[in-house]
Amino acid sequence: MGAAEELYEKWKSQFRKGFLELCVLELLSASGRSYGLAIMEQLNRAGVDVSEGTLYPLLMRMTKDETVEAQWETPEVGHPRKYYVITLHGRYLLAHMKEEYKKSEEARQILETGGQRV
Amino acid sequence: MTRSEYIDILTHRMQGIDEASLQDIILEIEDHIDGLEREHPEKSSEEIVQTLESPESLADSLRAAADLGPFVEASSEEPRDEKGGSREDGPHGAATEDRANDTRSAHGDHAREGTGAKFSGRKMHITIDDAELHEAIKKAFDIAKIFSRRQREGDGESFGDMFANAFNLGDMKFSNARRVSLRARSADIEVLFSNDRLSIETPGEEKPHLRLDYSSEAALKISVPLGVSEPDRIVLRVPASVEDIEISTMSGDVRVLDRVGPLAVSTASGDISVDACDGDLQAKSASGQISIGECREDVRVSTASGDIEIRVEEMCNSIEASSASGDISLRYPEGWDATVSVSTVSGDIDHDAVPEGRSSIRIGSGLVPARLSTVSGDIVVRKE
Repeated sequence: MGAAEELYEKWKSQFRKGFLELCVLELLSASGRSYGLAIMEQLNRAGVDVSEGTLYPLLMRMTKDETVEAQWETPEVGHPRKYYVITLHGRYLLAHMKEEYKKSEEARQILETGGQRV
Repeated sequence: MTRSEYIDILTHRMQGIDEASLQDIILEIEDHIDGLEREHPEKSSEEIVQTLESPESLADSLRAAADLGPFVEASSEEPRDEKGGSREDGPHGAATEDRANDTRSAHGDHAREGTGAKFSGRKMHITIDDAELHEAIKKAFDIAKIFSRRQREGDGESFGDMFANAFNLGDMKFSNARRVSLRARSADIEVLFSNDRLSIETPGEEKPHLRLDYSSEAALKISVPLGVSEPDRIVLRVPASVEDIEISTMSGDVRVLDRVGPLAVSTASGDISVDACDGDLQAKSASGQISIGECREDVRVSTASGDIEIRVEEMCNSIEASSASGDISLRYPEGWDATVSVSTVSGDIDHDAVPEGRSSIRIGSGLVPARLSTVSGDIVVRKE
């Protein structure tokens, strides 16, 4: 791997860290609730590549931060499954994250066009 | 790598995490693999495990998220902070300490430390680790003496001499337990009826790694400490005086030959078979097969992908069996008397009884209620 690609990969993993959390909150906010495999597949379908080793630790961390809540559910048919729902705290965080994200992208565009608002 | 090897490595590398969180993680990952298996029926279980991130790397990230230190291969389970507060914090200090542990275990010295018993409140914890069994027994007798003295001086509950006949060689007996729970990962479990007292055996295993917690509520918890290898088989002989028994495994099979009283069994991928149970029975498995024989009370069985087979031999109170993708078969004897509601979304139903309404069939005068439901599996209800 060339030096530039290596730098890009490094930057990407830094960038992803916060972005992925935003994506999970957004997904849970839109879908009401979901579980590990479904979250992973939805993210991958949307173009955010994520592996088990990234997603499950993140969900664990988010549960501890109380931005999501985990619930075990035993369905009428089948075995127990762990569902995640977004908490009020998580919604608050999501709203601010999105705001920040929008502002960042706007700022980048301003810079791109030589300092003029688009 | 097989599925159970994957789970074993993950479990092993998560040592240091509390039991409840571990169970949480393992069940979640098992569900993840189940989901992938359902989505890719063309792939073998091993091929699916191959597509996952390695268990080592998954464990590393989970450890970081759980604020556990990095995993260090060590054969001791002793909590390190008991050795006084002089240890430096930080990864460097921890690694040094772990190397020290390794060296000691290489000389076999820590074996004695791995065995012990201690009181905390009115609970008693006995850990039998690497030590020779007779060492453990001697220690247990010593502790038992103190324990029985304390009990007599205390509130007079008389399970003080539970250790008077507590151990035979290779065999531990607790005569007064009212509730028993057994948690294992890969060990096969066998449950038999005993007409005197409760006993635990690990055939072919001279130094079983088992943890026994006996509380003053006469509840005995049997588990295998994290990070040690499990015995291949654990045999429980359970008397009728045990009011409640709960068994759970990950990949180990559970076979119940004879149980007098209620019983609850759950496995992730292990098979469950119950030959006879004359109390309420609950059996759950994610991908294991469940087979049920003679039962007298309420029978509740469910699986995600495993097949369910019920052979009715007597009149029971009720039957409920459900599965997502497994088949359900119910065989009944001449003269049985039940109303069976059957439902499957995409499977076939095959029966030899009298249809009653759209989703029920009647056998005899329809006394015992039974409900069989699956999503994609087939249902068979036939006379034996």
